[in-house]
Order: sequence, then structure tokens, then C-alpha cells
Amino acid sequence: MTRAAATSGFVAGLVLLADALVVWGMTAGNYPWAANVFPGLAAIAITAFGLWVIACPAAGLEEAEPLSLQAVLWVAALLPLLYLAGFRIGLPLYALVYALAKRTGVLIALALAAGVALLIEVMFVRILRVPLEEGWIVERLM
Amino acid sequence: MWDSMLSAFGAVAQPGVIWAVASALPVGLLFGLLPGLSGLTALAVLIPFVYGMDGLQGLAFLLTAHAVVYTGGSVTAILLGIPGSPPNAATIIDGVPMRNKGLAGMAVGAAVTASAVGGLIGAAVLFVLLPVLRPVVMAFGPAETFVLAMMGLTFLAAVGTGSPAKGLFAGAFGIFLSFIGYEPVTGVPRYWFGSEYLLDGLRIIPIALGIFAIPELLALAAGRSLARQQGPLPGKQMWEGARAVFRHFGLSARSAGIGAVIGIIPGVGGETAPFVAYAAAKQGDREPERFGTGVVEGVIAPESANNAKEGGALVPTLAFGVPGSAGMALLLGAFLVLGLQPGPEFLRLHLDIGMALVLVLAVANLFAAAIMLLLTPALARVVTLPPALLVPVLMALVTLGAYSVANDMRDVVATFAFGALGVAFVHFGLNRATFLLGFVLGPLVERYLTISLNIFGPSFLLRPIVLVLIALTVLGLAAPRLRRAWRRRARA
Amino acid sequence: MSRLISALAALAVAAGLSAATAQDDPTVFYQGKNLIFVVPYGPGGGFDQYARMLAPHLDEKTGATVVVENRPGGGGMTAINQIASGEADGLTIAILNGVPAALGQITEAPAIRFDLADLTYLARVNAEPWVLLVSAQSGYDSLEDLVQASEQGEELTFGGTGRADGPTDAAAVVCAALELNCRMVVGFQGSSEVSLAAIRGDVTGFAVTDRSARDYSTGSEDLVPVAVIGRQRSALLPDVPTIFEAADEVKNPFWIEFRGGIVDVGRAIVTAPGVPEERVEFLRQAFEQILTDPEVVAEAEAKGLPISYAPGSEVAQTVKDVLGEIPEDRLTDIRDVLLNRYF
Repeated sequence: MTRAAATSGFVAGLVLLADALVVWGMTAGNYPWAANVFPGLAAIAITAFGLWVIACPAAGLEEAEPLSLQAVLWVAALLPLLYLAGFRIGLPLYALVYALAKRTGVLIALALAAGVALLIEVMFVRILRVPLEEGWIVERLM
Repeated sequence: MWDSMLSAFGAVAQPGVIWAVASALPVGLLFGLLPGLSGLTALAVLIPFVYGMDGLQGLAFLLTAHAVVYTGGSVTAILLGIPGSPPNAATIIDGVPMRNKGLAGMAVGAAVTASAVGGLIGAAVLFVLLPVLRPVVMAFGPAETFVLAMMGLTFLAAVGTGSPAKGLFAGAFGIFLSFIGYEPVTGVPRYWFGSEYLLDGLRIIPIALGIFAIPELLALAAGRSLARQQGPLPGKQMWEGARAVFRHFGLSARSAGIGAVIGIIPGVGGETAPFVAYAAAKQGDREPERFGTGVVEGVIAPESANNAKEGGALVPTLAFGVPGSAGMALLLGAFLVLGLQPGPEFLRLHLDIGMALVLVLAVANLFAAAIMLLLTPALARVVTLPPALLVPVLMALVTLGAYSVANDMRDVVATFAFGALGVAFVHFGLNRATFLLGFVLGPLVERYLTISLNIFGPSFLLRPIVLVLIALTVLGLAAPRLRRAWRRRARA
Repeated sequence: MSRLISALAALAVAAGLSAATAQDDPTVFYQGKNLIFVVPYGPGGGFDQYARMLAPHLDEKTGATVVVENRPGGGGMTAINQIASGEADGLTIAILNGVPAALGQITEAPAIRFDLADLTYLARVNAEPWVLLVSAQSGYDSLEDLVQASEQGEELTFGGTGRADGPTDAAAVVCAALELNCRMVVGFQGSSEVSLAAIRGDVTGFAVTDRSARDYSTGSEDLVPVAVIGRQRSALLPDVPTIFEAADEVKNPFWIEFRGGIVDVGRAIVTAPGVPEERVEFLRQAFEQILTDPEVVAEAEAKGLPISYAPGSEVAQTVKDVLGEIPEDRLTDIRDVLLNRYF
């Protein structure tokens, strides 16, 4: 599928989503009519502009930057890691693993992980006193 | 009036106040630099420290920290493509292309200097208005706020780069998403489907972080380095950028003016000012098509507006005790903690404190710029660090920043979700800046139109300032076309 | 040998017993533990300031490490939802905003998933009477003016932020009590924006807590406090008459009593339902000592945080009285006034 076609598909999808939500609000959602006015107007705008985009979807597309699956996996992996190990362990761990996987020297990777851990401790735990998620594993252990 | 000024100078020149400003400066800058941590968080963290200080010291401390956040935030926005705080998102539009062309140093130099100039002009506006604050604030009611929000919306098309259809589409979608959550007037929650998280509506920081930071980080993780180092060294570039602010002084001043005015209006949030200033700069330029490709004017306008709006936000805060922004709401709390009550009484009895705050604002902005300029050559080298090191650190900052908004893991999830959306937007050429602007303006338009109709009925459109604003909007939209027609006639 | 064994056995039993009792003894239980003090709003606001002011005193009195945690969301209700369904170990307490919580429960607001009657009440920190303010631009300067204007067919507009949010329902209650011709104008972002609208003359007036009323009206002639919405005058605005004093005839006093009851819940300290009795007593005593200590009260006053203490048991009773067993038709009436009649 060309990128232009994919663009049309994506835009069409968003248009349908917006229209569906508004219709739902007006019918099954039982919103008072005043609450439907502005979303309705926005949905009309979305549909109108969406159709305009679908008419010439290739406009404004720059040279393709291919999406790397590996990069997506790396970035996305942080979220479950945070749920499992929390911020204080998960983030330095992530730094260590990532740096090593990208073939950085072991010493530098360790230093990076230590740096991240330090940043978290000083900024977020001590100064900001943010109650950071401990993570599922830690909670099981405690 | 003059004794107030002298007294203000005297009050500010105390070692206690100077120390307060000096210690708050790096804190504010740091909070600006770290993505996801906003001026609001800075204030919240610093308020406990204020309990021990006396009046002006404490206020100077808090005001300084809050006012310089955007100066720091612009650096992150340009170097990393991640807005340090939501108002810095507008700087990304031209800042990142400049970085990609190897002009990061120039962009940062311009942004920081524009911040200082804007901040000074904002302070000057506050100073000039101090005796007449009340009539000014009274003049901008719900009707005027609505029209201003509409003006912002019409500039949506102007803010976008590339295909206008896609820019408008993204903006409309942003507007639509802003309606999730409680409807302001009937109190009915919309499109929340039983999720407590959605009940309050989507939060802006996870959105801004997600759609801007995640795609950048993905690109980094895929091995693309942040810039090819062409052009002169960062140090020299920086002074080029700084000089550009003065070469385009008219632009800087106009943008600051826009920022200050928008700051004065309590209902309109801080995120709108830089976008409106950007759009105005683009529409008023001889070659608007250059904007978005990486021109220094595109960086000067939003940054100048960003800092000027702080001076504006103090206006309703001091005049009525009505916070001009969320940050000002916290500052108000600090006023009370320090035993002062802003309002009509306040200005009558403590005009010198008002002026002292103006001074603090001016000084803080100057020094913030100086510090950032000193640090820029070092900071600009961040751009050359290997992605293997940058990615984990930035991911850490982004997730921590998102979490810290409300100590809620769901904000982190939202960041990733919007990250996916952001990736899609980039891939399909949809404009993220317009999306954010739509999201910010949507609730304003609904809220203030409903209130205006409720109070005045449709005749609110005939109020004097409303008419002026409508005229300005039409002018702004027509400007490029008028200019072209005028040039054609001049040539013939 | 057997004597040694029996001695050891006796020792073991004694140790076991004292350990069990120690677990029951709240003084020992709280020693060194983390006591989480939840604030259902962001940092810097009034509730946050109260919590942070009380935290060190609580720390001292209980021996626990008190940690203030901000959990904003749902208009302050999400955190209470969590408390209500959380662990009943007495290690998490919260400062509750009684007025929107009670109103929300009565009007079945979607954000509310708790029943106030189930929560455990440790103390009330403060309860602020509400005051009706009128814009100088409106030309009215007393409650009787409003009543007469309404009788002549004038429409009185009152500003607010939403429905059942505080300002709106307080005004609605006045309108219902005096049978005024009212309309609510809502959608403003916060009571200070409402006050600005009133100063401009965009609305006739609005209702706020007495503290805010004093801040908005002292030294300026734009806003006039015309009545305290309750049976007693406010200590902060001693010259402002109560609604019963200011109006010739209050046709439906029920509404004032109703709201007065809700106001009495005020800013209360709560914890989960089902926490062991001894720990509840322990915490209640700690709060009583703190909130009746004249030094603490003075310290709080100086920071702009007035204290008007009521013991937890009293708050629990007030909640029962206000929320328990309202007859169906009365409930419909209440919901109509709060959500419908004047919009």
C-alpha cells in the first residue's frame, strides 16, 4: 500500500471514529442536546477536512523515513518494564540493557545506568517527593 | 508613584531578595529543560520552601522560578524536539528544522534571547498598566475571550506547514478530543465510557510529550542522529541567533505584545499565546511559505510571546486576585501564605510590591537568558551524543515527567498511546502543532460561547472590543493575500 | 529439665501474647510506619496547605512518618474513591472536601463511587459558612432588594462553575428558600473568575465561602455581601446578616438547613471503612489534641487556614443525618433544585 493510500485510510478511520462517537452521544448516550452541539460541529469539520485530505492525500508528505520495527519494540518495551519493575529499578535497568544492546562499552553502560538512577533519586525522590510506582515484582517481594 | 518605584528598587536590592532570585533561577530553568515538568510543578515543589521567607523574598522566589521555565523549555524543544513544557511546542515548528539543518546553536541563541526580550517587554507592559489594571481586566470578559479563542482557531490553518487540508484536519481532530470529559456547562461527562481517567478529560502534558517526544525518540532509536554538524560552531551561531532577535526587533516586540495581551485574559491558557504569535508572524511576513522550513523568525515569535505572557498573567492576579494562569493560581496561594491579599486593596496599599515584582520579572528574564547563553555551547553538543546513550535517558525523563503530573501511571500509558498517534501523524504528514492548538482551544470556544450567549444573548457580538478582535482576525487571515495584491499593483 | 522447658514455653507464650497485644496497641503499631495523608487536589491549594500544615503535628503525635501525597482527579473525588475501597489498615487517611462530596452523592455524580456514610471519620478541620455576594453594578444592595426585584418579575442571575459545585448550589438553595426568580450562569473556571464576572456586572451575584467572600469584598465596593446562608453569622464577616435576619420571610427554610448540614461536614479527615477500633480511636485522639491546641490554631490562622474542630464521631453523625434516609420525593425535589430548576 502506498503511503498516500495509507494516509487516506488513516484519515477515514479518524473521521468515522469522530462521527460514530457523536452519533452515539446523540442516541444511546442520551446526552442533553446542548452537550452534543460542539462535538457535532467538530465532527462536521473533521468530516469536511477529512474528505479534503482524502481527495489529495499525497500533499505534504516528505521523503519517507522508514519506521524501524526494532526501534518501536525498544521504545514500547519500557512501558511493561515500568509496570513490572517500577521506575527506580526499571529505568536504570532499561538504560543498562539498551546501551549494552547497542554495543556501548560495559563501563559506559554501567555509568549511564548509575547516572539515571542518580537522577531519579535526587530529582524525583528527594526533591520532588514523587511517590514512584514500585512495580509488580517489588510489590510481590515486599 | 515615584516613591513607590524608589521603594520598589530598595526592596528588590535587598540581599535576601537577590539570593531568592538567584536560587530560584536554576530551579526554574531546570524544570523547563526537563520535559514533562512544568512551571506548575516547579511552583508546587517550591511553595513549602517559601513558608520561612518574608513577603517579597518568597514572591520573588516563586515568580522567578515560574517565569524562566519557558526559557529553559525552548532549549529542549529545539535540541531534542521535545517541548520542555506545553507552551514550548510552538517553538518546535521551526526550531527542529533549524536543528536538522545544523543551525541548532543559532536557534537556541535566538530562542533564549527572544525569551529575555519578551520577558522584559511583558514586565514593561505590566509596569505601564499597574495604575490602570482594573479597567483593563474588566474590559476582557467572556465574550472577548470567546472571540480571541476563535481567532486562535482561525489561525490554525496559518500555523500548519505543508498541506492546509491536513493542518485543518489535525486541528479539528484536536478540538474533538478536547471534548472528552465533563462538559463545562451542563456538567455532563462525554465520551468517557466509564473510565475514571477520561472523566476529567485528556491531560495536555501526556499529549504534548507523547506526540512530540515519542516519534523523536523512535527516530533516535532507529539510529538517526540528531543533526549533521554543518555550519559554524555552536558558540558563534548562538550570537548570530541573539543578534537576529534585534535585527527583527519589530517582530520580537509584536510577538511580546501578543503574549502579554493573551496573558492578561484569565480564561485563556498559556499554550495559546506562542501559537497565535507564530501565526501572526507568519501571516505578517513577506514570504510566509518559509515558515516551517527552519527560519529564525519562527523561533523568535513564540519564545518572545511565551515569556511576555507571564507579565500579562500577573495583571489580573494582582488587580483582582483572579489568577491569570494555573501557575498564577499557585502564586496566589503563596501570597496568602505570606500574609498578602491581592486585589484592589493590595495595589492601593502595596503598589511598591507590585512594582518590585515587575523588577523581579525583568531581572529574572535577563539573567535566565545570560545563564542559558553561557550554557548553550555545552548544551548544543548534546545533539552530537550517541543515540544509544540519549534514548534511555530521554525515555526516563519523558516517563517520569508524564507520571509526575498527577502521580498516575495512566498518564504514562496515555503518553505512549499519544506517541503512537504522533508516529502516525508524522508518517501521514498530519500536523502535530495544529492538533495541539485545537486541543487547547476547543474547550475555550465551547465554554465562553455558552457563557456569552447565556449572559448577553447573540448581541455579544456587537460589543466594541469584540468587533475590534473580529476585524483583527479578518485582517490577519487576509494579510498574505492583500500583500500579494498590493505588490502586484505596485509592479504594474 | 522439664522446668526449663516449661519456663521456656511460658516465655514463648508471653512473648507471643505481647507481640499480639503490641499489634493491637496502636501506639506501637504506628511507630515508624508510613502514614499516607492523601490530598485529593494538586499541590498548593487550600486542602494541600491544610494537610502539609497538619502533617508534622500528626507525625509527632502518632510516631508514624506522615507522607503527604497529592492525588488529583475527578474534582477531588477519585482519591476518595480509592480510600473508600482501600485497605482498612489505618495507614492511609485523606482530607475530604465535604460539600462537593455530599452534593455529588445526592445528585449521583458519575465521579462518585463511594458512600459517605461508610467512611470512617477522624475529625473535622474546618467548616466554612457560605455567603451570598451581590454585584454593585446590579443596583441591589440587600437581600430584600433581591426579593422585591424578583417579585416584580426581574430575573436574578448567579454565577458558578458547573452544577452542584459549591457556588451554584448555594445560590440555588437561596433561590429555593426565598422562591426567587433565578437563573444560573455556569461554565466559569473557578470562583475567582465568577467574582470577576460579578464585578463586571455580567451576573447579579454569586455565593462563596465566607473566607473568599471576605477576600473579595474587603476594601472594594464592587461586591456586597448580603447574607450568610445559614443560621449563624460568620466570625469573619460579623456585620453580614444571616438569611433569616435579612429576609422578611424565608418561605422554605428546609433548603437552608439542608445545605447547612452539608457545610458542617466541611473539610474532614477520613479513612477507609472497617479500620480496627483502637486505631481509629488513636487517630481521633491525635487529631483532637492537634486541632484544639491553641498554638496550632494560631499557627494555622497565621497561614490563612482557619480551624473549627469537630470530633470524628460528630461528623459521622452529621453525615448520617444529612444523607441517610431522605424520602424519595424529597430527593427528587433536591435533585431538581440543584440540577435543573434554575438552569
